[in-house]
Amino acid sequence: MHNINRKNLIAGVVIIFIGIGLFFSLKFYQTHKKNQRALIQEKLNYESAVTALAKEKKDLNTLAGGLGINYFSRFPEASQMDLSFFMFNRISAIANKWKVNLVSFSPAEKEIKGNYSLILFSGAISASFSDMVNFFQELEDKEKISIDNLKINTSSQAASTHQAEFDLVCLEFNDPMLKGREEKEKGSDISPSNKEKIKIVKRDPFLNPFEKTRVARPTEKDRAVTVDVASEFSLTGINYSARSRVAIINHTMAREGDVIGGKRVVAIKEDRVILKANGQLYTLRLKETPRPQTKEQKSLKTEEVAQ
Amino acid sequence: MEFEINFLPQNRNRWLRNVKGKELLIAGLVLGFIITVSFIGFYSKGIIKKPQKLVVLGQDFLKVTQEKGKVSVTAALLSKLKKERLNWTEKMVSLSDATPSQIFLTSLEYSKEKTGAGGRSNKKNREKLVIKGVVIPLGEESPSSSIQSFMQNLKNNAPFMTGFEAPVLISVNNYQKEGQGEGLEFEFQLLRKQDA
Repeated sequence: MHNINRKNLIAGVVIIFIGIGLFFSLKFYQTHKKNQRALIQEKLNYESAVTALAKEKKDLNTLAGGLGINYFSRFPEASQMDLSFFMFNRISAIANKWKVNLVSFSPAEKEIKGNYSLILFSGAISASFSDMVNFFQELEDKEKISIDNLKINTSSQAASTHQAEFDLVCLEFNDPMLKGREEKEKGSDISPSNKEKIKIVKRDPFLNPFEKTRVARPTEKDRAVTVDVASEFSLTGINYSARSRVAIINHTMAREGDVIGGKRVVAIKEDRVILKANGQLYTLRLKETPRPQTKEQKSLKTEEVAQ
Repeated sequence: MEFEINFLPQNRNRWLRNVKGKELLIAGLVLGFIITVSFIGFYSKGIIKKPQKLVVLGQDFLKVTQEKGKVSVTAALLSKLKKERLNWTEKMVSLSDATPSQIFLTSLEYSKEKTGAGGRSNKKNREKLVIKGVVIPLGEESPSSSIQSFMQNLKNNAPFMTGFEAPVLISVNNYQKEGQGEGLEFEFQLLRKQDA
């Protein structure tokens, strides 16, 4: 009896040990399952986060493309050129395309704002309302340049021509995520294309219907003396500042001393360019033909150039 | 040592007949020890190894979340900049559509100015668009109602009003010019929305 009890006791101990083992194995199984579930959940979370990140990056690129950030990175030649000079060329070409007279253009000013910068230019144009709208559309929609501080006034010269002053704002992002984004993109072509949308305005709201249109016409005298060079020169823009003086003559950039069409550029002023050939001085005004100067003007200009 | 495990009721005591208690105790303890240790081992492995994978995945998740956070901040900034931009092409076309034939504009000016009373700290830069024009009566409509309808046209023009509060009339003066008859010279302004 004693022997049997002892054996039972031993059997009991063995069963307890096996029970403990079974308990741990059950625990192991539960933990294993729990971990697997957590792992699956974590994988799902990770995958959804990766998908969401990809979507946000795509949205960000769309938004950045719409804003035209890193404007100058889009043009490989811009990095080699002075930004003001580059922008002046670009705006001049657009103005020329839309028959807009670029009256003035100021060099760039950079405003650093945290992780982005604003590069500002100021300009003034004179044009008809319709051409002005198309000029602005090209800047805003195609070039993705923002227009700020816009002022439009009716011109005293012609009822259908208006003057506009504005600031142009280009965005440059320092964020590495966006900085190189547009480097691969080619600059948009400014030549007209058939697909291009032209804004047609119903009426010019600045046009005074009671005022007769006045168009400045050259006098008979002017026509007689300028007939030989009228077709040769077209002054479409002047970049005049303390640091640089550049004019766009016949769609070519010219500095003082350059020779254009056999005539030397002797002086670039805010509103005109003075050319010289065979001892004769010519004044070239924006969107006007060169006119030989009178003797008095000639001596005055010669003094200015000498200074 | 012999083991004979048989749990059938008629043979209940047979397995014990040839086994001595001490041997059975040792065998039982060894068997129990092996089972317990092996299960504890598996259990520990199960606890330690899986969380390691979780930790790695968690780190990746954290990296993705941080990058997502940066993207969100940049996106929010770009959205703000986009919201601040005014599309002047649209506004000019809308202005052309909304201007009645008896009205012609003389000036449009969008600029910033300091607003708010009190000290310098209370003053804020507030952008405003000032439109000046002249109305010459052409039909039965009075000049003042022409101005009112012009302002209403603009107010109802969504592309023009984007980013601006409703137009507010600033001044109306008599206008008289030779050959153009009598009319009214007006000026109204649209303040930039504060949240824009």
